[in-house]
Amino acid sequence: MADGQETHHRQGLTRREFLSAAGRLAALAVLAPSSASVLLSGCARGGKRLSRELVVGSLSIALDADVQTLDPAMHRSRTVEAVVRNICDGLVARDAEMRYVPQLAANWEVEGEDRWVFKLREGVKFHNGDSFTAEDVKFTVDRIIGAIEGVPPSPRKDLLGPVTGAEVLDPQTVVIHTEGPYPILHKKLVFQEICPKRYFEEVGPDEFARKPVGAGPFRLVEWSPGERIVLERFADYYGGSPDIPPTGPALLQGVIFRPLEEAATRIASLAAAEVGVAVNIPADQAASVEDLPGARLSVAQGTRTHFVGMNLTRKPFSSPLVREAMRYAVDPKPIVEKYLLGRARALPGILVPMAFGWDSSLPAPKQDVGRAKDLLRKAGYADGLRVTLDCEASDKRIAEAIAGSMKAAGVQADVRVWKKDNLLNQLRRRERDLFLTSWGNSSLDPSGILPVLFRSDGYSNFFGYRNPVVDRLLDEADGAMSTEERRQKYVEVQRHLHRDIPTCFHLALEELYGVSEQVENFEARPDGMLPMHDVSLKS
Amino acid sequence: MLSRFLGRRLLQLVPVLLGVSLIVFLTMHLTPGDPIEHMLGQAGRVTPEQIAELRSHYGLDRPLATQYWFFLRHAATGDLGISYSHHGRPVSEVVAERLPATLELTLFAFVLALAFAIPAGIFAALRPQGLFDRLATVGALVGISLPGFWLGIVLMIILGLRLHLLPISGRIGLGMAPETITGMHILDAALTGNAPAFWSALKHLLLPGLTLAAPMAAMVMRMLRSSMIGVLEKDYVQFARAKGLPETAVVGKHALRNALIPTVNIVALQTGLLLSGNMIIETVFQYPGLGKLAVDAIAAADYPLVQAVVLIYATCYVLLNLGADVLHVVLDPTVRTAPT
Repeated sequence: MADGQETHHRQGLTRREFLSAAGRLAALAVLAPSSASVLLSGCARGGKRLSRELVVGSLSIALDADVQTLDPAMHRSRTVEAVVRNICDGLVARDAEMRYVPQLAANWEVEGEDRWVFKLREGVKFHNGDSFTAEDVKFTVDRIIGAIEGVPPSPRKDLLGPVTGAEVLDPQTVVIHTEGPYPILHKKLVFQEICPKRYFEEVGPDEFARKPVGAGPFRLVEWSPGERIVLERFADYYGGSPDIPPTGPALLQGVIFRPLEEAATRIASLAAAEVGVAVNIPADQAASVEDLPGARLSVAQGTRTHFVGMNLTRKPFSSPLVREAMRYAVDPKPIVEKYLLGRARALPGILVPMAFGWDSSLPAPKQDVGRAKDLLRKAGYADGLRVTLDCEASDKRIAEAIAGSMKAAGVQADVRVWKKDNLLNQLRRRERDLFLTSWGNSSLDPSGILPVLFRSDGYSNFFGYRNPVVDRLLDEADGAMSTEERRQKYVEVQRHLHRDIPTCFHLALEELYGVSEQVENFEARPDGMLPMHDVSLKS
Repeated sequence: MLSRFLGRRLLQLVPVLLGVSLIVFLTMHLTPGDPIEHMLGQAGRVTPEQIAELRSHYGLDRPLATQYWFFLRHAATGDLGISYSHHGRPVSEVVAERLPATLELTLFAFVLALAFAIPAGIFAALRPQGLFDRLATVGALVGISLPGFWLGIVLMIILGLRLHLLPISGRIGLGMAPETITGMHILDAALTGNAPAFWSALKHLLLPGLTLAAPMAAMVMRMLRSSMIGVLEKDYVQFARAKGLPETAVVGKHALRNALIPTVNIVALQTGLLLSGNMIIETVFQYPGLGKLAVDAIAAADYPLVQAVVLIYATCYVLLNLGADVLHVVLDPTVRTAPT
């Protein structure tokens, strides 16, 4: 600053100085209000007192991700869903064995091919005292499929498949219409929670996302973003699905969800008894949870499949021989036992055994070095194959284990790590040749994974896989109202995939949760949901 | 004189903020990652129409220049846009929720660092190469060298898990939040005379605060020590002693004031680093502040939110440096008379 120049112009401003000062002032006027609005709204929040019973009788749960919204229709996050499911019930729910049971619906039947008639449970109240009626169901469905003017588009729209709208027959009866047959509507409805129409219209979408009201076992009392979500037992709860006993109000006084993204922090918080449940414990840290005094590990088979995929549109994986060689090159044994400490299962195909239509006749994956080398030689790679195996950062260790196991068969794979979104985009553009990625399918229905990945026009067909027979089978399965017929179609699709080999290695990881001994009746679930209605604390 | 200087420096904030906002805007849009892809995650049967619909809802289908102009125009009215990853919530609101937590942690670490560094720097300078000086030097080297996340985890294990002295994450005990005045729990608790809330907030602040303060305390202490040693050798200090002034007056009044001049700049720079340190420390301690928000926003390609957080950081940096320069002027009369 201490330059002598400016002292010459002390008496008056030069034109240049004037212009630059005016420009700066204008820009200040542009940006200043923003900072002021931030500061002012920061001062406007009020604190809240929580009752002593709630503080003492609550269970704290460490989540592995933050929650950005509590609006059931405005997210694509399993964590948000796990929290919201305790505030808002849906028409259909799943029990611990992943069976579909009516929740806010009393029952349903399918009329013709495209009309699902739902009879609703009576005497159900939302947290604000409003009664639950067919209008709320219609509103919820219409909002998700984008049939309401002025409401932002929902990222959950595709989860309702070909649903075209809902119609109120009487306060306790609602019809959901689909375009053509959609035999799995009830399975898809577990992903949607019912929102109260009157309250939503009264407060608007922004307020609703912060202070949702539902008909679930707990009501929201406090949400400090990034810190905690406090739910309190809803005394007037209708009791929940009779198919998931016990019914009645929740046993806990409250539930506190805390986002603790670092696994080490979640385990430390469990050790310090700051939380009673810690979700998503990595396989390599499972032992440290088992060693904790006063805590145990709860295990569920996961619904997400990790797989090694190949790009069929270019060399070397356009050759069926090379793809088959890849299948025999990988050795599942050390990957599962050494790297994942037995906390996973190698699968013959993309579906997990729990899924509807799983083909149990496919052979278990097994390394066969001689056969792999032979196939490579026939494909013109007698000296072996050198490739890059792309993966996202969290899968690096598994990718390295896979690459290591393929060396014996003459496949030299260099692991390359990407940011998750970045890899996903490249895969969708089919820019990668060999990749390890994963796909979650918590609906446990093949319709949630097979058409997306393997239909010729699948949104995430990373492989460039085209098989008109598979396309036809998938379409037929979509519309087949007979369960057995659908199962058969999906079995056939799996056999085609086994022959065509767009993917050569499949792995299902276990879901591991750390649970305090003080917590009763809580177990990890394959779908990652955290229903707290039946959970209690030892007195 | 001072007001003219202040006015000019405040005006400089404007081009800085404009420049920063443009750089952040371009960097975010040029780095791979698409907010809509992130939002949809692994959505199953997403149609191109659905993507286009979301894109147009968030204004992402417009040309880059238009998007930037849009941002500036709205920022002028106090509207920083809507956050993609917080599903349509206004950015100013999301940021405002987290700002007090970060301010609280930063101020706490600042006070903690200076409360250690200033006395330690003075004592070390009084007897260079003495026992205290050697110990403090080793301590400072350790403080500077240890990466924050490592120190944080070690403190967490020792003080939180082994000794059960301090909570390992969060801001305040459940149900203890005081009435909101500033949003900074410890300050609000003090203002409302809520002792349990004050202690709870203090206990929650100690681990992240200590971790964050350690490198700053070490740097400031080393700086103050060396400038103090230099000043203590000056003639006017010898003269003050010869006059028979008590040592406390010689050190505290005559020497310290001059030794503080170079230290003030280091303090300002280090306070700026406290802000960036927040990003790591808040992630380790799951402290719900701006730093963690920024990390999450970058991962989610949430352009407006990153933009807002970086603008706040930039403003703080500029204001901190301005504060240091003003203090410089106050402490050093020669600067006041020099042509500016």
